[in-house]
Amino acid sequence: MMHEPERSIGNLLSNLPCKSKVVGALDWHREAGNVRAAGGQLLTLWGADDRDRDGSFRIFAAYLLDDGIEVLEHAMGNGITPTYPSLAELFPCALHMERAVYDLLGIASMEPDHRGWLRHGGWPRSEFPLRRDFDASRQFAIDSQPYPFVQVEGDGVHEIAVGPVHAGTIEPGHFRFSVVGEKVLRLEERLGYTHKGVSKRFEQMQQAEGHRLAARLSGDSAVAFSWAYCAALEAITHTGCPPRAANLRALALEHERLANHLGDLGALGNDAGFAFGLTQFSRMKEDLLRLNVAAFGARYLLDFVQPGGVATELPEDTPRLLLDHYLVLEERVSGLRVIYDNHAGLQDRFREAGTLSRESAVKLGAVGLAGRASGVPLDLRVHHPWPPYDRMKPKLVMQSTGDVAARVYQRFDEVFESLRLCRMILENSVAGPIQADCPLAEPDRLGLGLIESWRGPVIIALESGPGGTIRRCHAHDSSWQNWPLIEYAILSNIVPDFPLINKSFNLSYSGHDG
Amino acid sequence: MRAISFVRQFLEVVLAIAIAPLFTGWIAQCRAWLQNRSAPSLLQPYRMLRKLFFKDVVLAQNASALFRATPYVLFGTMVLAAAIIPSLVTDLPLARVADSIALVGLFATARVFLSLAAMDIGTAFGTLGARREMMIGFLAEPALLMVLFNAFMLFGSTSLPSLVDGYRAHQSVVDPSVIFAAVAFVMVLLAENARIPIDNPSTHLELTMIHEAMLLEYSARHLALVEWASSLKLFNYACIGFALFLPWGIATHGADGGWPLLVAIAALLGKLVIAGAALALIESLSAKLRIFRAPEYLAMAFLLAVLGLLVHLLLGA
Amino acid sequence: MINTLSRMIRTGILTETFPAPASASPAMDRLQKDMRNILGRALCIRHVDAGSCNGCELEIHALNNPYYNIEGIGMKFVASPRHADLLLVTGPVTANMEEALKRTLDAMPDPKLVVAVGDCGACGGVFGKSYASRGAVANVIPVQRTVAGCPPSPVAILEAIRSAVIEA
Repeated sequence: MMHEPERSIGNLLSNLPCKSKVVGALDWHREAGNVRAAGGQLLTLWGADDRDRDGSFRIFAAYLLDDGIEVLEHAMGNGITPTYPSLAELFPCALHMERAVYDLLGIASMEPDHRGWLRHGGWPRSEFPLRRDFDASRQFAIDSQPYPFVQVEGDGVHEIAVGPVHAGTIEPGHFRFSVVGEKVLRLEERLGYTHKGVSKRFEQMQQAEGHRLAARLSGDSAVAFSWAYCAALEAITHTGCPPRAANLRALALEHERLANHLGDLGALGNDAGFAFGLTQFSRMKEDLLRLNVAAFGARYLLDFVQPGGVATELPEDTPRLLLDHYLVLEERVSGLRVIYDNHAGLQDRFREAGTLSRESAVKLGAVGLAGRASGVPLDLRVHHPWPPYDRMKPKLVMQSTGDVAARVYQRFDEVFESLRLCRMILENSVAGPIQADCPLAEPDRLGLGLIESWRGPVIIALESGPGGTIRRCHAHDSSWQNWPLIEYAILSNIVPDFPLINKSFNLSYSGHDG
Repeated sequence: MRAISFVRQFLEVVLAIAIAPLFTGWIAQCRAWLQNRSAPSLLQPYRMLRKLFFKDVVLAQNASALFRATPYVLFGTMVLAAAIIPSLVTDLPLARVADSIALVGLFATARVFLSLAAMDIGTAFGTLGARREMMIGFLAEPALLMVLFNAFMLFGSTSLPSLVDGYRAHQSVVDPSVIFAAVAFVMVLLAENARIPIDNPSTHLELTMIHEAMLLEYSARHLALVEWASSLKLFNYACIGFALFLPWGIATHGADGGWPLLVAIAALLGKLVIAGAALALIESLSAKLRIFRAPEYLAMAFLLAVLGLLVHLLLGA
Repeated sequence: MINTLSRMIRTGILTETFPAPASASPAMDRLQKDMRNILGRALCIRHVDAGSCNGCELEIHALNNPYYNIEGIGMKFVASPRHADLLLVTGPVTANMEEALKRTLDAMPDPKLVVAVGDCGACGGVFGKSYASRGAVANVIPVQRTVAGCPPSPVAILEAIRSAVIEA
């Protein structure tokens, strides 16, 4: 099977400036090296089964550079096991992504780690769910094998296995600690417990409803995901989202950011034994959610953003209501910031726990909130803004120490910045329609939607099929980059500090597992 | 030894068993109010115990006899401890055979059994909890003993009832060394009873648990007894504190008749109300210490108690 | 510390009272009454996420905030299934969580109840039944109550828990 000749970079449809290129195996690795040398980051990696089209499998990698996104596409012939060069040594975050691609499609990178990542025994080794000839409705008997965790040997080394079911109300994931006494020598994470087959499910849906599934990938980032999906669809259908709808989408996204930050700040106080923090912040979060009902019609905005615009308009007196509430919220959060700052016990827990240095963060490819707290200056709203952020000029919020305290202050500062942006949206509101007509996309168009959710950049890569169907949709949450960070941040910390460190990152299990 | 002494002794034990959950419930209420939420009823711990007695027991397959016996041992030792602490009266026949050193020994017995049972099943969390509990206990015990020695130096006896009697005779109640001992005692109380800042009784983080981690495998009546024993332990500690530092109201030797007893009950309830509220306040304003700070915390308690002793020795008397 | 204390006092008690649930039928069985009197006043809940998108988790977290205050009505979340009376399940039960869910239910002592939360728990939601998802909690373990919604509001979840206990 002949590989496609190298094409020069062409434009790819997206809400951000985006280029794409088809490459051969050698260039796949070489280009990645160039990106790394230029200080770029790997955003996401996904594969596709195109045997029905041209007899090959494809692997795609999306990189973030200073001037925008670059997508590399590489086609492999349909051999016994199609392979492609691994990117893991250049971009450590690619390791899990490549394992996931293998589990779903059976295309292997040349990396030696072949333990199943998403496949826990729910389907046989020889089956690959995302291949077109796999019937999604099949159910298999569970064949659970013990997962070969990396063993640590030495005097007095114990293993503590935590999960998947945890003591509190939290998503399932497994953490294997190798400890001496209370000190952690090594942490290995095992995820994939909430894998629901979202990629396969997309292929059964129409383009016009895909945003509903995208939103439910990770409920706490519903607005971001649905917006990313709609942005991708609007790009490939050349639909322009009306300015008022863009404003409302941004308002919803900032509300989502606020709700999550308020919840996290309370939970972090609670995890350090300071229940006062939980009370105050959970109360503010509840007030905000009730305000969401008044403004948008629901506490959590899973169906607010839809292709072409948004679902509902703000009721008559809502802007005034929102602006008044923002003042109250700002005053309360400021007061609580002072309390958190001055509470010696709390600061003793937060400072120098779970430190991720700037060097490690850059090397490991940290993105989003965790990255900014360690001094990695990356916020899509600031560096690659899309409407309406291109007019609003958001400020970059960053910390430098990279410990739990930094991630706490990062949230505080982002709350204030979000409130400023919300005020800007409401005070400069434009009138107009909230919905544009979004037609069916031409088949075989690839579009990318990128949005900065509260955790970090979320990406939807959407390929259209005939008759308004979805041929392939890949959803990526920043948790893919950030989960491996915890394995480094926990080193030289003690076991009881793990819940606090984990919560300070607050990564998505479901958004990761898909 | 008169029959009336035994009646009083019995009454004290029954009262302790009966109102220990009430004390726990009161602390929970205060904590709820300080967290700006409405509190569950004062009788909530009783409802919980009642429900637990109705549930079926579920045991791990490899649970040994020690595991099954431990709840009873815990409850028994705490009841025995309640019998020799003068919460209402000082005329306690049982206290004649067991002094305060034996009291500390009873608490140690309970701790050892609980830790062994936690390790019995072989889960990682049981061992985790047991390990931490032994570390805390190992450091808290000397501090507690030092606090008790402080009081003994003042009155020349290691028996709590005679200590309380001695208070009546002593003129100046506020000895400077007593202040040091009181602060040290409160710190030890918080550590030994799994309270913030050492442990969080309402935590949902399995890796930070100390006391809760040892209870994860218990169910139904076993759990009920263990929880009851924990409430009793807190009650006992509170009563030790009252006997050492706030003994007013306790019916002393020679005080006969129903009236002193009623006064004692009323005084005890009043002291519990104030102590519970103070405990809830301390917990609500503090954060939980990192586990490696716990030895520093307990060393501070020990040091304060020793300072109290030194102050007493230096000032003579 | 003074700051913290003053803020505590200024905030006051925030818990709301909810409309009383529809009264139970007069012909309620003696056993049901006992169940309600015993379990209903001191309910211990164990939550298991069997693959949810974490939206339902957010609403379950809300039950602990001062407005809904689940502890004020005598219910609390517990860490160990051995301490629990009611299993609250979210998500459509992924193939990877099926075993863990079954084991958690086995570890709970009788009498026990199961409530499935959300559209996913009730019928698989937008994910449905597939190679990775079992489709509904009832397809894996017996369920007494479901709460529809995506996600269901905290009040709806509370109502379902209450009715599961009263009409057990």
